[in-house]
Amino acid sequence: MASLDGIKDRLTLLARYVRLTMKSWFQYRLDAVLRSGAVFLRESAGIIVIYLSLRRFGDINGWNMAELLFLFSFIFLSYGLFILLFTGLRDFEQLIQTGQFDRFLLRPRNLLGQVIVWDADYFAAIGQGGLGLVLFIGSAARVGIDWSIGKTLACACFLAGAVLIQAAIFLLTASASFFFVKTGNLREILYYNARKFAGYPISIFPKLIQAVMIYVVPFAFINYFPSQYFLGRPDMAQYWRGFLYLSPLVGLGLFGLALLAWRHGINNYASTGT
Amino acid sequence: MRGIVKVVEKATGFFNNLLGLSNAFWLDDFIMMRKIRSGDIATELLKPVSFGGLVLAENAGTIAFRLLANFLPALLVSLLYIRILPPSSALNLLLAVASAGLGFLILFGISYLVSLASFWVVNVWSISTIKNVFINVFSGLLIPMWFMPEPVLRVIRWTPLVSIYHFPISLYLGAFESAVVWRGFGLQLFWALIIFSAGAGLWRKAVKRLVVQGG
Amino acid sequence: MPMAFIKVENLRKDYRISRRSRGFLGLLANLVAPRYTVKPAVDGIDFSIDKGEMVGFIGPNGAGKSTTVKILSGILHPTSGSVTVDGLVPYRERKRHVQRIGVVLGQKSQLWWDLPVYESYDMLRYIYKIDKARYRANLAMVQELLGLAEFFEQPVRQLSLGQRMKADLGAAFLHDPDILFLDEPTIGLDVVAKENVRNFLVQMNRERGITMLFTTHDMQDIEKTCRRMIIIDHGRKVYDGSIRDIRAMYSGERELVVELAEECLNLELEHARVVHQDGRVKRIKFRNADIAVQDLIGHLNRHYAIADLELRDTEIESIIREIYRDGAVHSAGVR
Repeated sequence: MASLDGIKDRLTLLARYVRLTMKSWFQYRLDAVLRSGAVFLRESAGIIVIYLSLRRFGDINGWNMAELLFLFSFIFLSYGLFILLFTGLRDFEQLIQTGQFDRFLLRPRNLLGQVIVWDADYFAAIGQGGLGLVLFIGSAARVGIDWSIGKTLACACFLAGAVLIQAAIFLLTASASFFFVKTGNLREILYYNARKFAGYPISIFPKLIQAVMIYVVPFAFINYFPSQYFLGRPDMAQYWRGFLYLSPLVGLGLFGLALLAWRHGINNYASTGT
Repeated sequence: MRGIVKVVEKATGFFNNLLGLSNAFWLDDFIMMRKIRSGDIATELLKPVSFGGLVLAENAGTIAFRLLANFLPALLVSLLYIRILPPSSALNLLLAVASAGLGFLILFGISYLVSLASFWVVNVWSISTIKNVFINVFSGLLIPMWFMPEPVLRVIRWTPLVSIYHFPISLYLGAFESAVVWRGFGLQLFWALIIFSAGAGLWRKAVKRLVVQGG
Repeated sequence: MPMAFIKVENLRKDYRISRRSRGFLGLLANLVAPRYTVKPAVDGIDFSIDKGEMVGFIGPNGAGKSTTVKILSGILHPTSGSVTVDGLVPYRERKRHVQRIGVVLGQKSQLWWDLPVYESYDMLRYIYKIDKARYRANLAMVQELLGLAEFFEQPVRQLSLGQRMKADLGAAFLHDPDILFLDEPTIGLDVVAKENVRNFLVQMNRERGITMLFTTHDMQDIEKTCRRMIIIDHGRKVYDGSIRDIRAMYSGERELVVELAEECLNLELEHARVVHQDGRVKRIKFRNADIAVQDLIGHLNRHYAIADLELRDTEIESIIREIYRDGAVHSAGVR
C-alpha cells in the first residue's frame, strides 16, 4: 500500500502545496507580515492582562508567574503547530459553503489530505507559535527544569498529543459541517471557550468544569497535565498520576474518533448533496 | 486566592462601565475595505464632502442610540448590583459626558485612519487587530490603569489612549482636582485635532493613489 | 454494437429538504424529529453514450442537469439506479475514476486565484501524477489551441471571464482524460469567446476521441458542437436523439410580445408572423432557425416605434413545451 514511491510522491505533493501557498501569501507581503504581528500581539494582550493583574499577588493556587506562563506556552506552541499543519480544518466551513470541496472530490487524491493543506495560514501560525516559543523559552529557564534527553522527548510527545487533540476537535466540527450549514457556534463552544479556561491551572475551577476539561473537551491534556509533568505542583495530588503521561494517547484516540465522524460525514454529504 | 477574587470583583464593576461604553463606541474598521472591493468607492469620490465626515454623520444617530441602549443600562446595573459609586456630583456627570463625547471622536479618528489603510493593504484585519490590542490594553479597558507599572503609566499618560475611556470614567468618579481636569480636556482636544488632520491628510493621499492607479 | 462507454440506468436522486416548524416548540421538534420533504432532482433517467461521442445535455434551470453530472463525476451518490463509466462505478472508485475524467464547471474555477495560470498548471501536474514528457506535450497543445500565451503569466484574479474559461478548459486536458464533463462552460461569455470554446471542444473530440457530455441551456452551444442531444426536464428525459430530428419534428417556435407606441394594423415581418393582436400589443411567433432574435428586434425597431418588448421563452423551453403538448414524451431515435 504505502510503498516507498507512494510516500515520496505524497511528500513531493505536500512540498508543492506548501510552495504554492507561500507564493500566494507573498503576493501580499505586507499583509502577511502584519498578520503574524497582529496574531502575536492579540494573543499577548490576554497574557499581559493576566500578568499585570497577578503581579501583586505572586501566585495562583501555588503556581507562580513563571509557572503560569509555562502553562500558557503549551497552548500557543501546540495551536501554532496545529495551524501550520491543519489550517484547512479551521476554515472547513468555508470550503463547504463555497462549493470548493466538490473540486477536492474531483481530484485523484486523499480528501482529508487535500483539506488540511488547503490555504495554510502560515503567518498566523508564526504569530501563535512565536508567542509560544517566547513564553516557553522565557519561563522554562525560570521554573528550573533540568532538561535531559528523556524530558525533551516527553515534551515533544506531549506537544504532538496536544496538536492531535486540537486537530481532532476541529475535525469533529468540520464533520458537523456536512450536516449543518453553520458550525461556527459549535466551534466557539467546544474550542475557544475551553481555551479561555485553559489559561489557568484547572484545579482552581469548580469540579464540574474540571471534569469537562478532562473527559469532555480534554483541554487539560493540552497544557495542564504536560506542564505538571515538568513542574510537579502539589495540586496534582487530586488527579490520577497516570494523566501526566496520557496526552499522546488521548490525542491519538480522539483523532481516531474524529476520523470516524469524518468518514460518516463524507458519506452523508455524497448522499444528500448540497 | 480570596484576595485576587475581591480585587477582580471590584475591578469588574469598573470594567462594566467601560464595557458598556465600549459597546456603545463600537466602530466598523472595514467600511472602506468593502467599498474598495465592491467598487463603490468610485461613487464616494464624486461626493464633494470628505468620506470620514460622511461616515461620522451617518453613524451619529446610531451611536447616540447605542449610548442610550448599552451604556445607560450597564451603568444602572453597575449602580444597583455591583454598588459602584454614583456620580460624585452633577457637575462631574456633565463633565464626564462631555469628555466621553471627545473620547469617542478620538476613537473614531483612529478607526478612520485604520480603515484608510485599505488603500495600501489588501486586508485591514491585521492593522485593525493591532489597533484594538493597544486600545484594549492601554486605555484601561481590560485592566484598570492603577495595575500598570509606573514606567508604562508615565508613557501612556500622554498618548491619546487614556483620553478615550480612562479620563471620562475618572471624571465620573470625580477623582481629580480642577487643574488636572483642564489638562485632561486640553489633551483630548489636542489629540482629536491631530488625529483628524492626519485622517484628512491620509484621505487626500489615498484619493491621489486611487486616481493614479485607476482603482 | 460497441459496449456502452457511459451507461446510466433508472437513475434517481432525491434531495431531502428539511421542513422547519416555527416557534420555540417547532425548534425543539426539529431537533428531536426532523421532518423532510423529498424532492426528486433526477427522476429515473436512462441513457448510454458510446466512446468518442459528443452529447449535449440540455434543459431549463433546475431540470437535474448538474445533479446528473455530479453523479457521473463521482461527487454524489445516486438514491437508486446504476451508473457505470468506462467500467467503473464513479462514486465507489472515486480516485481511479477522477484520474480518467476532466470536469469543467463554468462558474467555479479550479485555478489558484492569486497566482499566475502556469502555477496552477504545474500544481495539477503533481496532483494527477502526469509525467514530464506528456505534460509538456499537452501543455504545448492547449497553449496553442487556446492561445494561452498572452495571459499565461498573469494571476487568475486579473483574467477576463473568457480568458479564465480558456485557462480552465486547458487545465482539464493536462492529464489526458478519456471523458470530459462540462457544466455550462459558455455561461456569461461573449459571442467570440463562446465560439472559441465550442471550436476547441469540437477539435478535441475529433482529434483525440475524447467523449464529452456538455451541459448548457444555450441551444446554439449544442447545435454547433454535437450531433446528439438529450433533453431533460423535471428530472426526466424528454428527448434523446439527433439535433436534425428535433428540428424536423418541432418548430421550436418562440414568442415575442411587442407593445407598439402607436396604432398599427399590419406589421410587415419576414420569417415571423403575428399570431394574435390586442390593440397595440402583438404576439409574434418565429423560429431561431429562420431569424435570429436580434435581427427580428432590429427590424421592428427600424420600422416601428416600440414601447415595450418581452421575449417569452428560450428555444429549448419552447421545444419542451411542444413536446409536452404532443402528449407522448418522444424517444425518437433513441438507441
